[in-house]
Amino acid sequence: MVNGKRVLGILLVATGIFGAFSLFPSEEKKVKKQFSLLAEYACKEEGERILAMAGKMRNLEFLFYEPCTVEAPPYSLSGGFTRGEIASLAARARLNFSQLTLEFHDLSISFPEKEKARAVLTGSVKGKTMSGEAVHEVREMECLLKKSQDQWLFEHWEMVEVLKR
Amino acid sequence: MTAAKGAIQRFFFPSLTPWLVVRIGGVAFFAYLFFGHVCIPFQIQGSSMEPTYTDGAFNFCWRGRYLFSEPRRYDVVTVRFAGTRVMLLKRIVALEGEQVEFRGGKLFVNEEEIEEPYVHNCRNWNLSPRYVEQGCVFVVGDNRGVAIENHSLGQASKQRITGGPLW
Repeated sequence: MVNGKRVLGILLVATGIFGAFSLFPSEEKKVKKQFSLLAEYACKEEGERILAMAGKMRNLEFLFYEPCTVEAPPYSLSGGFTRGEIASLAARARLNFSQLTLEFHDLSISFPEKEKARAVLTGSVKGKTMSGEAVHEVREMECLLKKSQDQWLFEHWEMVEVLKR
Repeated sequence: MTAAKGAIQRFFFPSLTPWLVVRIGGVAFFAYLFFGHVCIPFQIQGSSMEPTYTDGAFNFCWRGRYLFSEPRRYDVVTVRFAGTRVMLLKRIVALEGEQVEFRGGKLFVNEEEIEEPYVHNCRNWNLSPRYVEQGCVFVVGDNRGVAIENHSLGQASKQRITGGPLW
């Protein structure tokens, strides 16, 4: 009986700790969650319907702070963009692909200031163009996020040049 | 026969003792350290190093390669991005301070043509002369059968070189 109470007590404490971690995630987990959502909304499956695409783009734009600055010289992208412009750029880019997956690796997050996060990561885009050509691009990126109304939003994206021609 | 059978049974189905748990934990920890940070397994994705390394091939990134030496010309190296989860696999063709150039598909370093026996199929690559900065090396893939615009090449900081393939 005593052993049973002890085991029950340990289980209750473990459940409480697990629940605390799940219900109250750390800021780092919240930031990682935003990257997961961005990857999810950017992905495209074959035969994706227009409504599904519109829904994804609508969700995607709310991941970004307004304005969001982008520095991506390889893609001739530089400057500040509104949420709508970001969603429009993403939608246009996705039109070139019949299938697209976006993955983030080696995500390293720091908090240089209060309500500001800095992430350095590797982004990988794999897919198939409309003409059937396989595409695989990998880039290192640096990203700044700002906390707004308890949500981390992308404020700045910059591509880091790994191989300089 | 019974003793041998017992030994085999004990080997494949050991008794769950604290010492066994410690041993398993030790092996798992060592494997995590070794294959996570010393000798990292990887699969090649892409054809930029063909025919030397083919798409889909398996290898290990030996991180101790440059522990006591410097990267040299012709070395195949792994170049990291933000971490070691995804890396570039390229060959060093020029070292810091050297002038590198491609003319009609041929590699020139300090205005001297460099033999590249590992290149089998070469398009007419042209890249104007440029100097490799201090602390950097110039890397290129072995597959020159694509247009130079579609090939990832350039100077990489030596600090980004994590090692080289084991074979």
